[in-house]
Amino acid sequence: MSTCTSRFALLIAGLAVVAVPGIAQATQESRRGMIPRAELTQVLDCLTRSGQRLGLDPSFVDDRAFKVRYYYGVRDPNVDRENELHLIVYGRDGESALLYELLVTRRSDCLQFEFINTASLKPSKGHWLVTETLGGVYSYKRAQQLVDFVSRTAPIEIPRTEVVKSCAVCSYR
Amino acid sequence: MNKGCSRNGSRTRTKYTYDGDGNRLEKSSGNIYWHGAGTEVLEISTSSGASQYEYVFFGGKRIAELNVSTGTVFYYEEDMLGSARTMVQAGQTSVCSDIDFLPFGYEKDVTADCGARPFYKFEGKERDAETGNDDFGARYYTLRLGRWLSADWSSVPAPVPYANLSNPQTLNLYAMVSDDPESFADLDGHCGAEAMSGTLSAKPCNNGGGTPPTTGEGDIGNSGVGALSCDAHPESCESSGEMSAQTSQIAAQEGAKAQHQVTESSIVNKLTVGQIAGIVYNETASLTNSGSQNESIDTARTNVASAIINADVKYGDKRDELAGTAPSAVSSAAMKTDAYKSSLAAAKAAYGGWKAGKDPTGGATHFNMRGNASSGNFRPPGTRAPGFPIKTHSGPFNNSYPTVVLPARGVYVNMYE
Repeated sequence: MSTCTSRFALLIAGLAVVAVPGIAQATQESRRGMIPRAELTQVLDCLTRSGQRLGLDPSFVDDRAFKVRYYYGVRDPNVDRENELHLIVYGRDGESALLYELLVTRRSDCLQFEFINTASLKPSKGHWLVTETLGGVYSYKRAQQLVDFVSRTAPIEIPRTEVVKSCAVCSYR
Repeated sequence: MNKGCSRNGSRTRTKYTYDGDGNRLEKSSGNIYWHGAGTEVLEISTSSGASQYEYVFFGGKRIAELNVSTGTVFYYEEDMLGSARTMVQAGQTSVCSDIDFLPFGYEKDVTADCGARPFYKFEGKERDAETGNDDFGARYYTLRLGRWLSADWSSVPAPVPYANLSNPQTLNLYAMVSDDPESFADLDGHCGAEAMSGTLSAKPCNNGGGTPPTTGEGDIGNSGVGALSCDAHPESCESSGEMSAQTSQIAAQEGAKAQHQVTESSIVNKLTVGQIAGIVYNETASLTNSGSQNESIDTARTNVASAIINADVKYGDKRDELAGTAPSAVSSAAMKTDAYKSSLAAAKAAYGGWKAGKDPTGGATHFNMRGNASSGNFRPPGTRAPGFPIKTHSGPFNNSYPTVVLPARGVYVNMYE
């Protein structure tokens, strides 16, 4: 019995040694590239406004909540800007999603979101494939890299009730 | 010399002989190499001079091999890196050699029934049967390590030969194309070129017979570190005499109307014509005419350049911030390709048209590519109508950098409002 107990203790200690650094790393990773949730809800407010160019069709997303992943900031210093937000919004059918690239400017009064590009995505062999975006061969490759990267961030659910009308200024280049 | 002889397992010594430029002249096992004006091997003969194999190049790529003794012709199909992926014997309908390459050159899923060929494998370079190493000209490469067998070097003193100081990866003098062999191909043992280019040049990458490139071009050509300076590369800033007749005509007509001498340094708003050409190249380098396109790739590139100009005018000082296009930097090696020359001619034509008040896109500020013939608005499923109205629709083009979405054939270039 005591042997079993000591073995169990060793196992737990071993798992802790292995797991704790992993948890610490995951926490650090997840903190990097984040924005306040309130800002994220304002982005969704922009995307659901009726006049927003390439905004979300109301029937595309779930009735109850938005399912998203995102990364904010510099992923690749050669091409990304500090205030760049990459957002994936998943469709209710689980068979489609949209990638939005936008710039976030924090003005004194309201947030400003400038949308740079949009890509349609579909699932393919365990990952999300860019099916169409603006730009040429380079842009497709870059968009796919973005999708692969953002797909590794934590999934977030934001209830529709949390997305309220804001003073955010929204535009599409 | 950075290259040497080989002793294989059966203790048979093979001796390689090179000329002063590092080009292989002879292999003691019985081959003599005959070069063209560049570094490409046009013929391999026996040690007595009897022709064995002749090679045909087009656009810098090896496209065919003639076995002189049997009269058999084989056609090569190379990928974007220049690697010989398949060979087909003339008159046959199925491939006789089919090789997949892992990123650093290891051969996978090999189906080879063309005799011992191809000799030229990873990135189109000869893989020596005696050693398994690849002869890139300036240096030997070994796929087993994914590394060069000697450090990079230059014929003139340089602190770190061929390094791009804005990219630390290039400081490793043994690394293959900065350890990014899926995106870049090495041309000659010194210099890389973007794999998106459909016409990788086998010529030396610099203009001084060994002078290391300046910061910004090094082994990787597309690091987004800014455009190359015309002062530093005057040879690349001269007008190209190889533009297509159609694009040339447009440029001549519109340029004459504008009575403006178009140079790479001509500025629209924030962008120069040279930078526009770089963006067009980076976005369209892999496209070529299919033979059934409604307008030429040169015209499609002119449309892309016009859309970039329109966006540059529209967004003013915020263009850099809001642009979603490729960076404008192009390696000096890429500048020698036909795709870049076409892109530069397109940028000049678009600039000439803009100065003359002519816009072939009807005010487009966006463009994209589609792997289908749809001429609908740009409106990803799930977004609100109407999306971006389509303005022009060009294609179909062939794509030498195929993906699931943009296949090898049937790619269209569209302009949107």
